[in-house]
Amino acid sequence: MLATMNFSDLKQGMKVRLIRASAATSNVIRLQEMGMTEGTEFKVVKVAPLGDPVEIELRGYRLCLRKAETDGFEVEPVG
Amino acid sequence: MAGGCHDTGSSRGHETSAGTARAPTVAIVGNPNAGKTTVFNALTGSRQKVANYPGVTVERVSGMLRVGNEAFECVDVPGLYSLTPASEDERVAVDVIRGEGGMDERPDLLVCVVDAGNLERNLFLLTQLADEGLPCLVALTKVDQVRSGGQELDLVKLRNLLGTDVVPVVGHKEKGIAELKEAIARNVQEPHTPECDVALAGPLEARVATLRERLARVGADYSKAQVRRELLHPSERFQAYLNDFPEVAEVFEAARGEIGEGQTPTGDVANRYSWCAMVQQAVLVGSKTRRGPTDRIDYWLTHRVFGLGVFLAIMLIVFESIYTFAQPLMNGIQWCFDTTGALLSPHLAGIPWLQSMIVTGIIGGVGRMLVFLPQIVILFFFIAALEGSGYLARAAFLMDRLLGWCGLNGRAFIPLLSSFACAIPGIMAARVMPDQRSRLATILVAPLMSCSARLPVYLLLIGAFIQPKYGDIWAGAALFGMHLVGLAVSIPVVWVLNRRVLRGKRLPFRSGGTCGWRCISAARCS
Repeated sequence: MLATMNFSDLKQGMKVRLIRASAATSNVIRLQEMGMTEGTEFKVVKVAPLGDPVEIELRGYRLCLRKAETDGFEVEPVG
Repeated sequence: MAGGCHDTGSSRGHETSAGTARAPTVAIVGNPNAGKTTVFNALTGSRQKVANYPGVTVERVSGMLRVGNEAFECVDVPGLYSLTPASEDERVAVDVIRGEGGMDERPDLLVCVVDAGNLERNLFLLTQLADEGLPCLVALTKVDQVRSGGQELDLVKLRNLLGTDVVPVVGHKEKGIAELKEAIARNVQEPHTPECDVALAGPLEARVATLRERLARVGADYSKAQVRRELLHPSERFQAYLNDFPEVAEVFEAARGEIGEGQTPTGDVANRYSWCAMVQQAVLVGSKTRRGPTDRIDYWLTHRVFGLGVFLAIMLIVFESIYTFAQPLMNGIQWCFDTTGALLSPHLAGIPWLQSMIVTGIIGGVGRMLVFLPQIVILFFFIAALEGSGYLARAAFLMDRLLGWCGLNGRAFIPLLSSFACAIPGIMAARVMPDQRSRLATILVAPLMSCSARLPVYLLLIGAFIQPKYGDIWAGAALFGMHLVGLAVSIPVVWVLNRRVLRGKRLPFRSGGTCGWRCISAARCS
């Protein structure tokens, strides 16, 4: 798949798959420990009115993330 | 002016460590918001504060747990996602588990509180706890919510897969607490360590198999999970095998070497999660069918236009009610003091200095202060209601960007809003900030929020200049405006603090909408 995206491209209601988590920064590792491992699919539940943060649903729970915290993660649309 | 700030008091009325003959220690651990404190309170009969956002327990709190004649020291630790601490409260939890950082010893038993509605992420922590080699049992919370969501949970299968006791509990209804107490007593007697069959990175898997084989040859029976644990933290007994049997030590060293190479953190995390996903698949029957009304309410409360409107409206209502609802109560209190003064005054007419001291000084002075009590009570009521209903979490979601550009985050909204009541609880609440830098920034900004001790001054001025001329509505609006001034001043202050004084990274958001609204009576999340 060529259509890789960053978190800043996410829109409400999208379904995406995490394809890469580059850079082993403590932030990336922590998010992986919270379930954002490569290959995980998730849904964008909502984008805050001011454009940030983003709420996603993965592994049966919801997680709020700031776009800046998701540097190093690449996603691709599913379905 | 500081007179309005209330006594900080000691809200933590618990026994600390037992002192003499030490009771076995039981630590309650688990993910943030999994229900640890509710379980802790049900076990020990304490009344620790429970709230619907992570980071409520920020230091270890202990209480006594009695099962029959036996006593256990029960420790409630802050929630954590993994054993790699990312914040100060997680550090406290890891220190308790590992017996580091001033803890005397490791706990005798861990009670891992697992949220049944969020198994995968909660089990991830359990896989790490299993590696620590501590006896552990699982208290499964929110099973009722999983059931009402249309799913069924196979507890027998879960017990088999985890290799530990699994006790379903509904903490706030005391359901399963008696069983949990029994299980704790039993597990302290006969400790069990969870056996999480997490895959190891390629070559290591084979090495561990060889290691188990060699160990078996010298008469030592180790499971895969145990070997994995020994690789990370070799026990004394295991060390003895290594010293006595070079053929075991040889494989052990090779395997240790591979942990460094093959077992990158990323790969390790992925392996653990595949195991967690497998367990979840195996024990959860059916799919989530119903979603509570939470989603619909959330949709509107965090809506682009409507959500922000509601936020401003709620804030406005809070301040308007401080102004209007409190007025009759304030008049009542004023009347009581005036009447008491007037009644006493004639009796003391003979001694003018005493009359002046009691009537003007004591009665008048205390009255002047107490008159503001209704306003402070109303404000605290609103803060508690917003916190209890879960609206604070939504407000943090809405406000993050706004507070964010100057370096704070949505989480700071909670201490900052509390500072409107009083800077002291506000500063205390700044402990929820996950790192020192943002905590310091929040603490420095908190006093800029208009605390309720400043309310009398505003009210006096508004009462003198605005209310008589423009009426009640504008008086309320002016009060609201005065509070906005504090906010407006704080923005450049934080900006300067972040750019010039406290340099560093901004802290992550990652909390917020992790859970539904806390309905105060039933605590049913979506």
